[in-house]
Amino acid sequence: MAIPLKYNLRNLRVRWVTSLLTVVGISLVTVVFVMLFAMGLGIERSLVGSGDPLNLITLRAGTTAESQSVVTKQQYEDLLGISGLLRDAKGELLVSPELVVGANVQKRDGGKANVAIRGVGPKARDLRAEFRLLPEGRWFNPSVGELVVGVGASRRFAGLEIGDTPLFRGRRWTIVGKFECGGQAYESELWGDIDDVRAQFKRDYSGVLIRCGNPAEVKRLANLIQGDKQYKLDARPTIDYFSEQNIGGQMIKSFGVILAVVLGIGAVFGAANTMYAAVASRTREIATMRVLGFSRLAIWVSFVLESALLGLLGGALGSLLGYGLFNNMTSGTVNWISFSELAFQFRVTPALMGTGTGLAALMGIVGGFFPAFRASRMTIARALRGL
Amino acid sequence: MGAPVVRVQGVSKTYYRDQTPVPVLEGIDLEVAEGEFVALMGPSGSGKSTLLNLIAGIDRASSGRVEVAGSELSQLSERALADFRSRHIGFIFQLYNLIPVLTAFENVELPLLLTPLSSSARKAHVMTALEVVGLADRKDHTPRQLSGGQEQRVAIARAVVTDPTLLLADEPTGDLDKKSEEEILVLLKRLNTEFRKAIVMVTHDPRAASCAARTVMLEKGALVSKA
Amino acid sequence: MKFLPLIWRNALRNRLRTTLTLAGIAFLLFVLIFVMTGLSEIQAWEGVAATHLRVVVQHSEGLMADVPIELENFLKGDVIAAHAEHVCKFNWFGGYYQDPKNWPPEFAVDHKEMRALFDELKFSDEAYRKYCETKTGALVGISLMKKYNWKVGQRIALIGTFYPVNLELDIVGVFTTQNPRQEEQMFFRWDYLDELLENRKIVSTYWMKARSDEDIPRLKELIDAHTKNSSAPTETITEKEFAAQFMQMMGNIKAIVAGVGALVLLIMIMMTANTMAMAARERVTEVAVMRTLGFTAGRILWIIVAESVLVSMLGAAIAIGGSLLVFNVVKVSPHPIYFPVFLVEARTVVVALLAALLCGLLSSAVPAVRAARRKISDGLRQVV
Repeated sequence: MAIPLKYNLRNLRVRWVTSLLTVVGISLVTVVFVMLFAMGLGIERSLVGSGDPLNLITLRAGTTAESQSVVTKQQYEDLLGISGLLRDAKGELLVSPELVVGANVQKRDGGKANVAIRGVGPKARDLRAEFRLLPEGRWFNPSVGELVVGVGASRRFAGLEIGDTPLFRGRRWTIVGKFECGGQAYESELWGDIDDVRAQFKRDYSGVLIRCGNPAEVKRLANLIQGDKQYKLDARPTIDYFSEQNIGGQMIKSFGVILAVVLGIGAVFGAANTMYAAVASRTREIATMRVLGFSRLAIWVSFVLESALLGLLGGALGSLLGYGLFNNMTSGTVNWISFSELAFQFRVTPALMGTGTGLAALMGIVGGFFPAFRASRMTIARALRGL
Repeated sequence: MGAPVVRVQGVSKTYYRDQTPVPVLEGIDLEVAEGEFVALMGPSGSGKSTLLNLIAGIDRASSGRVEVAGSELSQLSERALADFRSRHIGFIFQLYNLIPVLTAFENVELPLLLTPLSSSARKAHVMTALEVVGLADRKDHTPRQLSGGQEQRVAIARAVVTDPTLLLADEPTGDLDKKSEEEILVLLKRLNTEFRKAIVMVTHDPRAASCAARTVMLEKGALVSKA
Repeated sequence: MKFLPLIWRNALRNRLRTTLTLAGIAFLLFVLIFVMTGLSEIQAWEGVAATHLRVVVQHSEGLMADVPIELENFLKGDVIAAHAEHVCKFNWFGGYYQDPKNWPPEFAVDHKEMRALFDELKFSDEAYRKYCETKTGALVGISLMKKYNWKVGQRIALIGTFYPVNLELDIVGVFTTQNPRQEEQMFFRWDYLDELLENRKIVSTYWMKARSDEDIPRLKELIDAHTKNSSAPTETITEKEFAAQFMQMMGNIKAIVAGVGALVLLIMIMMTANTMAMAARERVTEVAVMRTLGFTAGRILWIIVAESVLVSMLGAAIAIGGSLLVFNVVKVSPHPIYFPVFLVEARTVVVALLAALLCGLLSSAVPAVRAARRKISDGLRQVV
């Protein structure tokens, strides 16, 4: 009992200027949505992915980030005394004392930003399952001012390649290697020997990373350390630690949704206009179809579908544009918790593209809703007379 | 002849412009027998198109009974009326009213989409109808590519393709030149005599009316003669 | 213009269409205004800072590094004094009040110099006297007082994060100032912070007031040259550049806002062009009739463009009125922590009006030209 779809398709083609304008308008809204959401997803991937379910991190009591926290050597040694800590095959404790500091460096795309420099203990790599030193370089030697650079930092900043010798705190450091770490936040950092960094930057530790055998053990140990006042430390699974830092990513995603909705409302008004005009110009046709026996519902559905088609086309176009323009684009933003640069890549996933297209189709449906009613509620006799 | 295809009893129709009532039809009684060809004539404003619309179920009477093909139309809902039209009525308009974006074939096929027929069955029916009106070779042309007369013939094919009980024509030759007018009238006569279709045709042209077996005159909303 | 009633009635011819177009434009411009206001708020410091002739000495590697206490003697010495005065130590404490989500901006400063250095802050002599007498004293901006419901004489505790100590401050006075954003700050004493930090003499930055605009480049030269080969090379920048650092950290936020703004404008133009095209199509015969009556092609063009501009500007008026009401009168803020102040500026309003004007002009260009160019006979022949 339905009016064939080709009727709608051909009408869209006949009124191609109007259809095109509406489709492009909707596609632009979709691009904005896809871009912002892809940014949020990218930031999220960098941050949230950085948490390992088998690690926990200890910080000074009352602080929420490594950059704010100060942990003394004594506190670190107290931690080592806890019984039941995991050891590796060589019998060494899987614990890494770390210090995060920052320095302003010139960015490749202009301006300066803070890059995080992390002094790490010898076990640091073992605690990060995705760590991979690239073959072009090597790991640093302690005490001689050597650093390894994360691929993200290297991409975002100028002068952070293997062989470069940046100046930090009055001393020349040499970058001897480059590393990847599964797209995690660590890729935006420079790593060096913990004692080396401590000496030059005149600080103690910021935190201690501890590995456990299983997530339950992580929870147990975290509660133990946090609960015992003698340590004066907060302890958390790194999964939670990094998710909490993700406000930036969430903010951008929410902003993307809100912006898309509001812009979408604007686009819906445009689609409604288009459909009202389409109905007005086809009153006799519509009346004829009613005479032939097509029901009001069939007419209504037909026009809503036509409008949905406009939305669908706009959404598909916008999603593809968003993918083509933004996917995998590198960018960076300030991690508001650590104040250092966080490199990330825009991620336009198939799910995101699908959602963008779906939202656009929805815009079309909403826009066509009332014009379709007008079409279906026409009095046949009057419409035939051309009123 | 069997039961009348159309039985109109005491029908009145009043429109309302703002709050003022405008009576268009008053106390109409009319019967059309099976296979009969009736012409409905009268000056403009006499209500003949309105009466046609009532018979087609396109409009509702203000009072009285309209019985077509055994159904009392005032009892039917909008949904039921749509169904009724698709089964029993073939309507031919003065302005043809073909769908501009569909080809001749697709225009004629349109009413068949409301039936459970398969695609191939539909195709057969459409081709038959187009052959009857002599336009099978133009089946893939759009209305823009056809002359007025050809468009009306396609419209007639569309009207007969579902094999309706009744054909209703509202000034079918009003917009055509002399030659096309001839063709259409010949076609309508053929549908009536050869295919035994009951036809009610509204016209203001006495020559067109002469094709019909019977002419009914309307004046200011009332029947003045029943020849 | 005597044609205004005609233009107006043309616009009202299809009320529904005009309303939908107006609503669409109003919505889109509202978004534009919102996004632009966000950007201008983030940039707010830059604008204000330029006027005060203040200069900041910070470590060339950024704010995470400290500058040496030894530098103070040099900065207060004759060489520099010729170009600047009121040298003041300045550390951002970065602590929170009760809930880690509450971050009132707290600055540790030299109490003796801060009044002259930050002369735009208005507070009573009495308050200042108490501030100099009380080591734990704090001068708080009026907005901050209202936000946390503090009273003069109250003792407040601030939990340290970057600095591993907590503050116990006594509010000795309230200040007001012209720039509402500055009223969200508080100043306490650097010597108190130093005491808590076991006299380690940690200085984050030095601020001072240049004697004139011309002195600023000289200051940069003198100070940075002096520290160049030391273990803590410095970068001396104006307060405006100092504020701009934070913007830079956010990277391409300007580009994103510009991008979104351009897209919004484009969408608006598409939509309005669509409306105008549809309207024009329906009025072909009418236009031909008007031309027969004696309206020239140029007049026709003008009338069509005027209608489009009228509708667009009306949409702009709605958007501007609405946003002024929501943001400037009712004072809604999208995020009270990141945007303590969110006010629509005159500059933004002007941009919105220009955008609407551009939209009105561009969207009607094609239909207007076509209508003006079409032959009268063609127009009369057209059957809709």
